[in-house]
Amino acid sequence: MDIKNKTFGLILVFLAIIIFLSFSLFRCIKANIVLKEALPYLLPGEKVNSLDLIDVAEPAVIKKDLTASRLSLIFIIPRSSCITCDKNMVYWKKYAALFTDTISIYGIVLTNISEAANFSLDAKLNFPLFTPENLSAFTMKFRIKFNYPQTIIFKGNEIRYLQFGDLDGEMAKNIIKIIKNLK
Amino acid sequence: MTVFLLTLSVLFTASLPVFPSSYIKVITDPPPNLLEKNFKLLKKVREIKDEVGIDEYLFMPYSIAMDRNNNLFIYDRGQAKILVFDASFKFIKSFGAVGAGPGEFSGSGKFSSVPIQIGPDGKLYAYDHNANKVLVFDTDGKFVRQIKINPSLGFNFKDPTADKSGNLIFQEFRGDRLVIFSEKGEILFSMLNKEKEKEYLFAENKIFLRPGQEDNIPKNEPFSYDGSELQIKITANSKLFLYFTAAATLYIVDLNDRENAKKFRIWPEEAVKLRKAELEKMKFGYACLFSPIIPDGDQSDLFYVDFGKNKDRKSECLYRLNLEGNLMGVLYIPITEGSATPMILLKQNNFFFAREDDKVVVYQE
Repeated sequence: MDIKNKTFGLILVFLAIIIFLSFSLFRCIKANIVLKEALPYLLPGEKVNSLDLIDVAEPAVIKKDLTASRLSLIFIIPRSSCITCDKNMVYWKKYAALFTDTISIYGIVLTNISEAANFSLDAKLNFPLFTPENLSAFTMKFRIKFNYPQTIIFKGNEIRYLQFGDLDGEMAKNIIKIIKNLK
Repeated sequence: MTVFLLTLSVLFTASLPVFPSSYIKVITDPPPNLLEKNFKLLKKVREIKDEVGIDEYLFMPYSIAMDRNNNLFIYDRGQAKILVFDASFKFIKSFGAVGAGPGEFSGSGKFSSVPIQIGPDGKLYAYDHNANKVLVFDTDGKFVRQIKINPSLGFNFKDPTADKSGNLIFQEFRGDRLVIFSEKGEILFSMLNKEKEKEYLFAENKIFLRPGQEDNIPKNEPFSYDGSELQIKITANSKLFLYFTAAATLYIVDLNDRENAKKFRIWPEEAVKLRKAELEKMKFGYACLFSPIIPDGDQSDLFYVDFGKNKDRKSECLYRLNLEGNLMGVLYIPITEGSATPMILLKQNNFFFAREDDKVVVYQE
């Protein structure tokens, strides 16, 4: 009887621990989701299948299927005039000069099409520029909350690298290394 | 008829302005045909850009220098590094890093302004504006020393300059004199603070200033109004070049014969008119001609003045002058569409260098 009771007790304790751990895990997952949602950018490993964009050069809606590209380098430019974007521009142009023939490279500026067209001319971009077809859907998809640029490397539809904000020399070289490795 | 023509020519000759022959050498307007016809268009022979070596890139060249062995040094503000190339423009190595320690640059990126220069002592001087310090390296990239600069001292804005012994050169206004002195306190040159310095560029004593700027003229710095500057350079053969942008006046001082300094008005009237017209159109502008003075790397009796973009905006114009102030020729550097204004360095083995947005372009005569 004693042994039965003891075993029963142990099972209860064990169950209680399992329930507690499950509950904790659930809370952690929930907290993680909340924290993730609070982030102003996507994380490596997250996936984006497609993007509905408008080509600034020849305004027409294009569905960019990221799964169709082996490697994509995307620059998210929150405004046509921002100091951080301006700082990053020299690196972005360098990536375009180095990899434009081998990987898919483009910028997405979060403004209206006419402002984007002016920006493209003023900045003398050497990569294609797009605007989102639906700005709010795009900002939701990329969890954009602040006016900071992003440099994102996609392998297929999966994010492999994301730099939020401005780049410096070391980061810039690191991005080149990552692209070369992923190629 | 012959007598009449002779008389006319004598009268005409007599009416020409006479300039003082000694000390002050005034360069008059170059004849239009020299500017329009007798220029040489430099040929592009090479571009240094993108991947310059294995895992080595050139992102944003800011300043360039060349040593006596024709090795080329490029400060890349994109990564706060100095890239070194041999005489055939092959990448050798890079050095420099971001940090707060000795021999490190204060930051990288668009706002990292670090002019570099090879001093007459053969060392590489890099002036980190943001940290107010000069880093000295030998040409192998080994860090030698670091000098903190007191920002109140007028350190050469454009280039870090040192004399033959490696003493940095400073400028300072002491009472009514401008003094150029070395790090060890040796006075290299001094001159009186003359109000009339400004008259050439801004005739009738009218300085181009926007409304409200009149109060901003530093009272003790009539040589450098409103953000204009004094450029200082020392050549390997101890010629000190002092260029006052506001006055558009160049002094050349032979440090071995300091009594015989030469003074030049290097800008022809036409250039001044063009500059003034340009300034009138600008919302913000400085009342001076910033263009750099470039001592010739090979020939000590020649120097260059970067006149800026030509009227068609498709070329950069270089005046070649001798030490007597005579215009020896005009060279044009073609500017590729969309490029920034080239920054010309110096001439070595007949090579000219220009900096564009993200590359260094090499030209030859």
